Amino acid sequence: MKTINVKINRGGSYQEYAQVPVEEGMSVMDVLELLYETKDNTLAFFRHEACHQEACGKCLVKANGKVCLACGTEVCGDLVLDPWSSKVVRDLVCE
Amino acid sequence: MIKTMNSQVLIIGSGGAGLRAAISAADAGAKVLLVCKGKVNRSGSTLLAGANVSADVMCDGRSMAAMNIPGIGDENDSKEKFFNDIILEGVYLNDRKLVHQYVENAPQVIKEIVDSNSNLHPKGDDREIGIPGSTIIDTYYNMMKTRDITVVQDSALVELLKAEDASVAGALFLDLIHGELFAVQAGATVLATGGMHNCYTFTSGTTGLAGEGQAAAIRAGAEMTEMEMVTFCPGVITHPAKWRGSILPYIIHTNDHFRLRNSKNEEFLAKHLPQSAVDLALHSEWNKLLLCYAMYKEVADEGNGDAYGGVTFDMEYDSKEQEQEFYDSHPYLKEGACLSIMDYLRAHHGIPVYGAAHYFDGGLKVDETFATTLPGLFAAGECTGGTFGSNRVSAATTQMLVQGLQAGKTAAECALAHEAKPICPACLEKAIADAEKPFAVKGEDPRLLKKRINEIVSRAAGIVREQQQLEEGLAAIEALQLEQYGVTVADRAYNRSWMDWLECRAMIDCAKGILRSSLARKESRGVFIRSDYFFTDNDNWLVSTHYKNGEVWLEPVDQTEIPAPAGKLDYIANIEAVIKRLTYS
Repeated sequence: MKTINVKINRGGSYQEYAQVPVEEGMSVMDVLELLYETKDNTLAFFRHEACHQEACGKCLVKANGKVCLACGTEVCGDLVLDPWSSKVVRDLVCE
Repeated sequence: MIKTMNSQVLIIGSGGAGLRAAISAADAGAKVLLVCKGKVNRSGSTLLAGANVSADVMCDGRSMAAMNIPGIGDENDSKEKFFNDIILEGVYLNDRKLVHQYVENAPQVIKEIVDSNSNLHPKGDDREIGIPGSTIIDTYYNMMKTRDITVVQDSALVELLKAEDASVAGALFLDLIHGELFAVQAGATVLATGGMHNCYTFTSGTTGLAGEGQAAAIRAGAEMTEMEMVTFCPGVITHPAKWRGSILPYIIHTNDHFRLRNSKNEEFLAKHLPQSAVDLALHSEWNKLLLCYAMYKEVADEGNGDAYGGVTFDMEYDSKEQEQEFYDSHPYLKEGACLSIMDYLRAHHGIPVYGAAHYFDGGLKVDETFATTLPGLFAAGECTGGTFGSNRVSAATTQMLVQGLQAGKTAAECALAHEAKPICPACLEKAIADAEKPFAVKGEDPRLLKKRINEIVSRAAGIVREQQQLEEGLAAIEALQLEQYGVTVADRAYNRSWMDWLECRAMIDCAKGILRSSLARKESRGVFIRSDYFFTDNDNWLVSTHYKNGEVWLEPVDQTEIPAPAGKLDYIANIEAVIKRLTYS
């Protein structure tokens, strides 16, 4: 078990979550879900009907500057997360 | 006042059942509106069928042979034999009329898929071909696009709405992205909302399968059937987290190379199953229930589970050539996430797996036209019950398509026969007020409630059940006070805690049905295993459970066709006896 720092763009400014515990084999989606479950129940990211298996293509985020599927991107270190498009609904959720 | 849309037919859900129903209804001349929780061609269980690499679609071998796919089909098979086998697989609990509808219409939907995909070249055998779930959904999405069908996406079912005469006249939805409620008024409504996976902690489904369709139907007073029948899938990844819920190990396990080991690195199937049943678990399509039972015994009873609450799935080969042969015959394992999973498995000498809630055999009571017990309401696919009795071996992918095909037709006929009835204003007002309740409460966080429901249902209504745990589980579910939970964010746009609250409401309604029906069946049959009634009793229990307005009752299942033999047998011995009667055993 190691910890990482996660910064999330929420409406233009970054919120930082320090010392988030991560295990080997966690995806960006797993980290977001962990944050929602344990640290911040106001966080919004695409989750309402996600396949979790890189098949639906709906969980796009920008992780460390690169647009990717949250469920298919393994976490290797600190994360900076932004919405993937400019049409932001809330936090990381885009139209 | 909220926005209201109008349609002749309203379809809820966009997996195979919803898409096929929409096409049927449009072809029958009805104006169709389809509302789905996610993305229209990428939501629901269909996408993940067969780990999106090899989902079986099935019909009788003779009809399959007529598709002219090289090496697939069996001229000596027949619809009668296929029918016979589905009844045996369901351990005689199937609604025979629904099975006839399945067997008769299966060739048509398979032909639709084969004809629409000239580059498919599917693998298969006498009665089945294996294709990715996305191919099935793309086939019907493309077909739907050629019809005049209106689609509304990212919207969850909140409540079924009734007319003054108590018939179903549409539904209330939540546009999840923008946080706006809207109503649809329709002459006929088709539920195609899939399973109740979210009641459980560990599932193989997508994140949205909260049983909203079943729950709304239960609240509206619809009759449900065989709610206790839940199929668990044995080879579902528990770790690493990013692949949790993937059924890939199960998809590749039906060969001689796979091994299951406990935390002491011991194989354990023979500890819990007689050798003949081990053979069935390893080599037959009955593997789901037998392997899950053995895993449960090893983990829950013997305490030999791993750190993730399950066992290790590994592959072993006699030689490099044999391994190469296996990969060559499963080319999808050589790319993408499948390759990563196989690399992990090789590097770690196995991957952690356990039995996950996978398929719900029970659901809305329907007749062979897919009318439910409520006028104006129809249902198709996994949200229905009865087709597969106590055990589905045949394909759910085919079920959703044949049932959608008919449900769409029936709904269109109903809608075209009369003017749509207006939604009763008081009914709409109440549905909105109920859905908005959590905004008025400064209460506990709904995400905690979700976890609590998962824990209760997983413990009480898991792979193996017994009276005391079921009673405790039901009492715990009934003690939950939904009205004490409130949203944590006031902004309605993409409000996760509102979504969680609404899902909890659905999960509680479904859980009560599952637990009450489980308590009513005092025997073991098919996927339903009671440790305190570890026998299958054809003298007393050839009955289906029915659930409505909180009450459960039993009704005899018509045994005129393919009747069950009399007698009471040990659960495993009965499975062995039934398998001997199959035409393919």
